[in-house]
Amino acid sequence: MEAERVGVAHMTNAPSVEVDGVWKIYQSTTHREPLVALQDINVNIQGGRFISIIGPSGCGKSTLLYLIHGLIPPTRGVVRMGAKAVQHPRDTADLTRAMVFQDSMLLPWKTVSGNIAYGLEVGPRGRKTVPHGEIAKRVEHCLELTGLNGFERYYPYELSGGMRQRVNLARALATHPDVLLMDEPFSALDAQTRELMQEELLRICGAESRTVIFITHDLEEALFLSEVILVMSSRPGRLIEKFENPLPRSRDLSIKASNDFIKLKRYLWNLLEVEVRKSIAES
Amino acid sequence: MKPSEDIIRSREKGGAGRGPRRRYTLLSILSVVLGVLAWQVTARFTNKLFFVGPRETGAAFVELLRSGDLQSDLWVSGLELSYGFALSVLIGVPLGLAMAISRRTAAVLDPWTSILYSTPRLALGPLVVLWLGIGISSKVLLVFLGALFPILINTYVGAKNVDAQMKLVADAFGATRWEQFRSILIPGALPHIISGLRLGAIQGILGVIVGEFFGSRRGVGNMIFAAAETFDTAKVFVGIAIFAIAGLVASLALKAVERWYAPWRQNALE
Repeated sequence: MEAERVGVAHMTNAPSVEVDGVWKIYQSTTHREPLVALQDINVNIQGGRFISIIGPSGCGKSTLLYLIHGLIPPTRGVVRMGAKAVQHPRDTADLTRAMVFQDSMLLPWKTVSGNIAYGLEVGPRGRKTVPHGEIAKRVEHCLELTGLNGFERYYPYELSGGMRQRVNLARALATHPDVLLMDEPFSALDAQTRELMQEELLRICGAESRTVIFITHDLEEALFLSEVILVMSSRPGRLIEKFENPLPRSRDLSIKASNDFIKLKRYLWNLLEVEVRKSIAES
Repeated sequence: MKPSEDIIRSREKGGAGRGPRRRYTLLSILSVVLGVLAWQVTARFTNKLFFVGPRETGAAFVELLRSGDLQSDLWVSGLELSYGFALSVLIGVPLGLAMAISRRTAAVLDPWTSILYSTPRLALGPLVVLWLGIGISSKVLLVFLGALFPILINTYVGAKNVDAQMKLVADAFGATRWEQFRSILIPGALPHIISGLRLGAIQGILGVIVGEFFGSRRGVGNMIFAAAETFDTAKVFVGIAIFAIAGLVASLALKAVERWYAPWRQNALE
């Protein structure tokens, strides 16, 4: 069983993500000194894996995610996805990555179905391939996958925060991304909803092989979800550890109470504590 | 008292119990009925030469309908309003959008909209009539000038203030600039545009009155001034009522459109 799973992982089509000597420096208009948001980030993320990036708030983890998606250009260095340098999504002919945002950022004038279909109606991918019947089919499938059946015709303002994040996720999944970028998608949810969403995310992502890059500041969340955890320092953001999560891949929420889990969380916290204290002292 | 308020609100939202909402509607109707009654009572104690009640106004209205004068006046004023309003929408909305998209366009047009918007249209009335004569075209221009700026400015502000995060969503899914315009900017600005149309319609009605005052042979505004000169006060009241109702209907209709299109805004206001 385990061998079979590994075999699948080797055959994955999901591209690797390579961050090569990336710096992000903001020229501030008010201060003389430029602000270094990211400092010389180097990491190679193997295709098909679930990666979390943790770090104190303001360390530039969201910036890194936006850079990987191509929404903002690096000041120095390059991001490659499956050997190709990443460009702005608008200029990417075959867009195989999608973003799940921190606030759900749904279009208020579109229904749940309309929002899920949005990524298929715009952009290079929509222009090239997805025909109308296919869009409806995919929306249907994603509604099912994220447990939104019966909410097709609801508007975002009628939904709870958890439901909105399901739509946010479904909207990204509908584009069939090989790389899924998630920017603290559960941070605004209450604790119980968050736990359930984490479990569902594992279920959804386990079904297909894709590269997932997940930003969080929640150590438990990172440990529970991911195979690899990247730990970032306080500003200027640097990578201080690439941590291979030894927990078995198939997990449920009960693992959070296990001794191993608690020890690993302790270990991560020891790495992070100094950085968090630094970032608090700065702000 | 707080909890009971919450119950009422949740009921209204759920639509399960229409009771409270209906009660407030009833109160509004009662208020109008009382107002009309007060009007009638006031009319009994005033000189008919200067003030008439709802009954006399109604009688004058029926009389005007029977003679066919009112229909032709309504037709002319309606035509002036429709042409002028349509023109201001056709020019105001695209210009407002262009200003929102292009800084350069905004820089060129901004001083003119500010200057012309703060010029009272009343002051332009004589000049416009002098230029275009007492036919329909002078009124169309005055309606246009009145309605243009509320529409243009609301469109501009609405499109300018479309949530930057919505644009980020479009970017993230690779939307082209045109797709972003079509799928984010227009629908995002639409509630503001509708508000602009509502304000524009009211300003347009004002344009009809101003234009017909400064020179015309027909129209409801003209009817009012002609009747006032001959102390036909009931006829004056009919004209005023028609303008009031026209403004009310336009305003309510566009508010309904707004509520239908953008229910999430209503919710945010609560």
